[in-house]
Amino acid sequence: MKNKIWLKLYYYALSIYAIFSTSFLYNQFLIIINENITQRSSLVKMEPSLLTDFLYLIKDNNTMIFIFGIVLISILSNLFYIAEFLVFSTREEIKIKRIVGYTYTDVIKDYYLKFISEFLISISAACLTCIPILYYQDKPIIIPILIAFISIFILLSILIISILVYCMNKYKNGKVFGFKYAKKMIVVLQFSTSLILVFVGITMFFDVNQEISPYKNYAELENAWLLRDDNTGEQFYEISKNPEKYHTNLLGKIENIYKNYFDNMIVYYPSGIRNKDIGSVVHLSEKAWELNNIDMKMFEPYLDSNYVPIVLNGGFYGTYQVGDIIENGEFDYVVAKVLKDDEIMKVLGPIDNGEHTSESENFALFNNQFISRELYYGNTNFLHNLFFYDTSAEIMQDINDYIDQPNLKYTYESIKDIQQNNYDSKMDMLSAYFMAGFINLVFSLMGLVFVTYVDINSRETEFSIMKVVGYTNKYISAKYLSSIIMILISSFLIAMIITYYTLRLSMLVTIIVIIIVLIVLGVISYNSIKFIKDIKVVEIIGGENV
Amino acid sequence: MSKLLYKVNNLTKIFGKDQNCVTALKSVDLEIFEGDFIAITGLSGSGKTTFLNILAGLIPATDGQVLLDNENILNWNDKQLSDYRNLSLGYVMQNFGLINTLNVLNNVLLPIKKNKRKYKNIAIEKLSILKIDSKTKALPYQLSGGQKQRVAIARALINNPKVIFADEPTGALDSENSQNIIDILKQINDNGTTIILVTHEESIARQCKKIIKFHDGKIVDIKIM
Ligand SMILES: Nc1ncnc2c1ncn2[C@@H]1O[C@H](COP(=O)(O)OP(=O)(O)OP(=O)(O)O)[C@@H](O)[C@H]1O
Ligand SMILES: [Mg+2]
Repeated sequence: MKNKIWLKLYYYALSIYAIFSTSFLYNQFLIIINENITQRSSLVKMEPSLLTDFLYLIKDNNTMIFIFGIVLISILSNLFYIAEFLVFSTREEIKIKRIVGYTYTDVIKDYYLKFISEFLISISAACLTCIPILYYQDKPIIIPILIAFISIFILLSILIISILVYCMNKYKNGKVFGFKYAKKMIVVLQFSTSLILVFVGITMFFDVNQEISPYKNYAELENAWLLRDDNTGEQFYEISKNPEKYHTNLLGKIENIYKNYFDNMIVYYPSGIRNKDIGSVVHLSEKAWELNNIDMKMFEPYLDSNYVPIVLNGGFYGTYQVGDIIENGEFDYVVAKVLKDDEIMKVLGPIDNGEHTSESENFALFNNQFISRELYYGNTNFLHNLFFYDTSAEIMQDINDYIDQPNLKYTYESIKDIQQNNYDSKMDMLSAYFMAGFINLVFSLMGLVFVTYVDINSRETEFSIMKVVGYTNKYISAKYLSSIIMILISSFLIAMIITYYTLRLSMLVTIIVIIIVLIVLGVISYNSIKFIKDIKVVEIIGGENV
Repeated sequence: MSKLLYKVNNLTKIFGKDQNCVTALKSVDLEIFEGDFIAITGLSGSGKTTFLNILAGLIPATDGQVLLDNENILNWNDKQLSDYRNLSLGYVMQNFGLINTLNVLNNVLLPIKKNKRKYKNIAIEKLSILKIDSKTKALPYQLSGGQKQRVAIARALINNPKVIFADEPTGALDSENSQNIIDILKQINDNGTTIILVTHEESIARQCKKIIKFHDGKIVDIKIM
C-alpha cells in the first residue's frame, strides 16, 4: 500500500462503523431492558410506541445477538487484515533490524507502538466525528464511544502482538510466513455472514413491508376513529366479575352501539369462547377483511345462510372440507376455506396490538348476532376499543356522551393519527435494520478489497517473475481472479444454504444478492486486472534481491 | 556463416523526462547470430541490463528496432511477447527470480503452462545436468546462492529455448562456483543454444566467443575471441 492516506481513511471508516454499531446496539439494548420492565408492570394496555415496534421487529434477543455477532465478526476480520498487513509490509524492515542487533522483544515493542499510535490518531478522529452526529440523533454518546474505543484498542493490540510473535517465531526457525489460508477463510467467514445479514435484511424488508400494509390501509381511512376507555385494570376486573351490574349501564349501551352503527364499525376481535373442535377464532367484519387485503369471494356463497363462514388454519387441512359445518352452540360455522399446511394468513387490527396469525387461530366473518353472547361471557375486547369509520366527529361526540359512565370515561381519537405514527416508526425501525445489514456489507466489501489489494501487492514479485517466463497479463489475471471467484462463490453458497434453512428465501432476494456479489466481483476484477497489467516488471525484479 | 538471429538497429532508451531523463542506450546497432556466445561487459550503469530487458520485451524502447527473424519485436503485443519469452527465450535474472513459496521443482516448472506433470521428468533431468536434483523439494530460502542460480538456469532451459539471457549469473558466486556455471553454459551453447551473458569479470568474458563492451549506453568495442 503505497498511499498511506488510504490506510488512514480505512482505519477511520472502520472506527466510525464500530462506534455507530456499538451505539445502535447499546440503544437497542437499553430499549430491551426498559421493555422487560414495562411488560412486567402492566399488561393491561399497550400504547403503540417505539417499544412495541421494536418488539414487532426483533421478537426476542436472539436476533440482537445474531446481528451483534455478525457485526463483531466483520470488525474483527477487518482488524485482522490491518494487523496482518502492517506486519507483512514491514517484514523486510524487521529482518534488517534483526541483522543489526535488535532483540525480538525490541522489535515487537517498537512495531506495536508504531502501529497502535497510527491507529489511535484515526480512531480519535472518528470519535470526534461521531459525537455531534450522535448528539444530533439523540443517541447515547459517551458509553458507546468508550466501549468502541476500548474494545478496538484491546482487540487490535492482541491481534498485532500475536501476529508479531507468530512471525518472530517463524523467523527463529528460518521460515517465511504468511496467512494465505487463514486469510482466505476469514474473508469467506466475513463475507458470508454479511451476505446472511443482507439476505435476512432484504427478506424482512419485503416481508414486513407486505405484512404491515394493513396498517397503512387503516392509516389511510378518512374519518376513522378509535373510541377507547381510560380504564384501569381494577375497573375491568370489577366489570368482568359482575357483568349483571353493568348490564344496563355499559354492556347494554355497547350492544346498542354495535347494533345501530354496525355498518360504520370495523370489528376485529378474538372470540372469548374457544371452540372445542377448532380452538381459537378471530372475528373480522367485512371492512376488516377488506383492509387486510383479503379477498371476500370465498365467503359469498354463505353470506345469506344461517352459518358463519370461517377460514381454518393449516392444521385442519384434510380434516375439514369446504362446506363442512362446525357446531358452536348458539350459531354454527361453515368452512369457507382450509389453508394449506404452509399457507400462513396474518391479520392486523386497527391498532397495534391486534395481530393474529393462522398458525394458532382461525378467522371467521363477524356477524353482529355474536355481540351479546360475547359481551355477557365477559369478552372485554369489546369494551376497550371500538372502531368507527366514515363517521363524523359530531356523531363520535354523541356516541361518546352516550357511552360515558360516571366512573368510566371514554375518549375518541383519529385512527389515522395513531396509525400514521405507528406505521412511520415501524418503517424507521425496518430501514435501520436494513441499513445495518447494508453497511455491514459495505464494510466487508472494503475488507475484501483491502485484502485483495494487499494480497496482489505482496505478490508483485511472483507476478513479475511469471511475466518474465512468459505468462500473459490475461493469464495471470484469470488465475488470480479464479481464487477470488472461489471465495465469493463459497461465501454466497454458505450464506444461501444457512438462510435457506432458517428463513423462507425468495427468488427476488436471491437475485438481488447475486447482483450484489456480481458487482463486487466486477469491482475487484477491474482493479486486479488493471493492477496486474501495470506491474513494472523491471523495477520490481531489477535491483534488490527477491 | 550461421543464421542471423537478432538485428538491433539504432536502439535508444531514455528513462524519465526533461531534466531528470537518463539516456541508458544511445543508437545501439548489433547483429546476433545463432550459436553465438556473447559476453556483454561495461561499467556499472552503462546500459547492459537495459539492453537485455528491451531484447526480452520487458520494457519498451524509445527508438529503434529489434528484429527477430525479420519481425520487430518492439511492435508486438502482450500475447506475442509472452509467447516469445515463454518458448524462445530463457532469462536468468541477476537476482535469481525464484518464487519464495514454490519449491525447486515447481519453480523450474513455472514456464510450463499446461500438463506440468508431463514435464516433471524433463525438469528433473535439467536439474540433474545442473547437479541440483537432490533439492527438488526444497524452498528457495533453504538454498545457497550458487544453488539458487543453478535452479534459475534449469528453469531457463525447461522449454529448450533458442536463446538464453543471463544477467551476471556469477555475480554472487565464488570463483569455483562461477566456473561451474560457465562450464554449464558452455555445454548448453555447444548444443546450439545462443547465449548472451552480462558479466563484470574479465576471466569469464574471455571464455565466451564474443565480447561486447558497453560504455555510456553505446557499444564501444566488439572483440571476437
Ligand atoms: N527504471 C529506470 N528509471 C530511470 N533510470 C534507469 C532505470 N533503469 C535504469 N536506469 C538508468 O539507466 C542506466 C543504465 O542502467 P542499467 O541497469 O542498464 O545498467 P547496467 O549496465 O546493467 O549496470 P550494472 O552493471 O550496475 O547492473 C543507468 O544510468 C540507470 O541509472
Ligand atoms: Mg545490470
